[in-house]
Amino acid sequence: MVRKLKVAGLKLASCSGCLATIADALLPYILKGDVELGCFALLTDPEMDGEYDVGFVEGSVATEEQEAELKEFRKRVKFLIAVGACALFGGPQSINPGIAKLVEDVVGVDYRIPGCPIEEWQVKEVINHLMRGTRPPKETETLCTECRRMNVQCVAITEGLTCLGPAVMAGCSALCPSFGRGCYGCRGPSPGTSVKPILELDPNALNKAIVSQEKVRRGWR
Amino acid sequence: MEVKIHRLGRVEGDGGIEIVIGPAGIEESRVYVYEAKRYIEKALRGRHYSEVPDITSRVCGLCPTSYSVVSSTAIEKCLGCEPPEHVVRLRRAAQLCEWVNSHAVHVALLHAPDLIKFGKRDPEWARIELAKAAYTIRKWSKTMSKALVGRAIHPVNIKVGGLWSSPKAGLVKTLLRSFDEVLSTATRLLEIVLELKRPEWPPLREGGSVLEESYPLLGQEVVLMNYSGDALSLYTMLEKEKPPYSNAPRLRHKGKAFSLGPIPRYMRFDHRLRPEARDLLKQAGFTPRSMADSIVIRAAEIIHALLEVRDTVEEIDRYRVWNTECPKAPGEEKVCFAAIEAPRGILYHRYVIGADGRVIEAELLPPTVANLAAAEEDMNHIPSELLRSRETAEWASALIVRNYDPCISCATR
Repeated sequence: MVRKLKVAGLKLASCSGCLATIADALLPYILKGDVELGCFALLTDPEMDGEYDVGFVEGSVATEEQEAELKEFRKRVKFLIAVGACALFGGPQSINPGIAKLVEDVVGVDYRIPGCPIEEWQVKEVINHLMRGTRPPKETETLCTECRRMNVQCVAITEGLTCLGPAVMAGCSALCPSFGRGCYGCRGPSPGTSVKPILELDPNALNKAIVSQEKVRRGWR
Repeated sequence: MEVKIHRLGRVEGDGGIEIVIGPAGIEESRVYVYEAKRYIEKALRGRHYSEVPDITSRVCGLCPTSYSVVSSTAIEKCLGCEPPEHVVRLRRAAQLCEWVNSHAVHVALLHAPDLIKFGKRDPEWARIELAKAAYTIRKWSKTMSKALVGRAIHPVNIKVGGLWSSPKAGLVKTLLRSFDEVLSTATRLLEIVLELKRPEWPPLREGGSVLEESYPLLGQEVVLMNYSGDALSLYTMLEKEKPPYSNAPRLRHKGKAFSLGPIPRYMRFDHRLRPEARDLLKQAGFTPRSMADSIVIRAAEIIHALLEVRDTVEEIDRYRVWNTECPKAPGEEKVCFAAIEAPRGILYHRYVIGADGRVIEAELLPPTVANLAAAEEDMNHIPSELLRSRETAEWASALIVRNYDPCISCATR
């Protein structure tokens, strides 16, 4: 049984990069008639006007209005997905302390898609699952696993570069190492891993991370 | 009568419009910006310059390459370590890929819906045709960005000093095989756009662009109204003021609002567009008459950019060295600046870098801070017959804002 999904997108304090990626991923579904857009920042009228099967929320919560809006969105959405580094870990605005709350500090979410920005394949995977009525799997792999699988040379071993790969979520096709640079952690920590060994190698490693340092230290809750 | 669009759709970011209509026409016009401030400029302070391009790209999900490239260029210029020409050209190609994918979504999905009803074509047909064209063009240019700089949104291969690594030659070759198909899709997009009925208001507004030998893209020189010279002096002169109703400032020149983006680029430098794009406009008898014609210029710039990208990437096999470096610290305090043509117009960056290579001060001024002031003034040109009903007044004021393809997250930062 394939269900037609009504999908909404909410933008908080962020750059629209994840929503733009979601729009690209959804366009073929929309043209086929499998997905219908409700309120979706960037593409349609952003006023919430009904209930939605799936809601994507991008960004961190920086104002009281955004907090109220997110709570309203939660009520209208059956399956709420927090997307991207800003929603999950604070994003670059969390470099300045005290400016932004995480989505999960305000409402519960049904699924998380990490990335800065997220990847199209992640959106398609979730939509395919929800159309079939199954639950998407939880990602747990680290970037190191991905480098091995993609046969990308380890930049930490061969070049001596600082790489957050052992602690960071996979899913980017080992992007930075494949361009000869160390991972700077834009996808955030992988559950169950620790950044401690990396910090022992290079105490400044986390300064390079785009995600909230405090959150990275605490790990995925 | 007050006409208020609380949340404006089909623009990047969170904003709205209010116009107050009196017996003599528009009395007040405001573009609200609710977007939350993220204090990215403040977050840059104290960081080593090498981290700057990765952080500034996060300002905008639609024009991130512009941020990375202009940050790198500004800092390279003041460190005196310009990368080799083929590396500079490759970054320019990545920047042009961004024009293509940003313009494609704006032309087909954000701007055209305002004009579709009034054209010759069946609206439903046009809507689907436009969406398909945007999809094909965006897919190609985003994949090309992936081959050149890792990804279209928040690229990872751009750094101060050049690039981290060579572009992915295999993927580039694959993409070149489908180039003709993408170019013909872009040509069809331009044809559809030329058939849309575009309003003859608001009149063309004077503005500025980067100044260089080619169609404007990147450098330290700019031209704005009567000014022609370095961007640092101009931007020191411009007036920046934040209205109480907006989280984003407005930029003016001697009290006057000005436009940035495709219209001023084309008005001064149309003769430098690729002949293929120019000829198509000439055959159609196109001369820009209003700010709404920006949609046509964007579609033509897609063709121009695609051809420029092809010519650059066809030559990558000739070069071996891609990973070039800059010195880690300048040894003395430096003021760095550069200007780039983001899809929406000049994006100006200025940094003060300390002797140790750390950022002391950063200023990022995106085109939308100028264009919001221009849009507010353009509202005065809505014809009076459209101000009689709420529906047409809403349509006209929203179109005026969308003419500029505003990027509200950039404007707020």
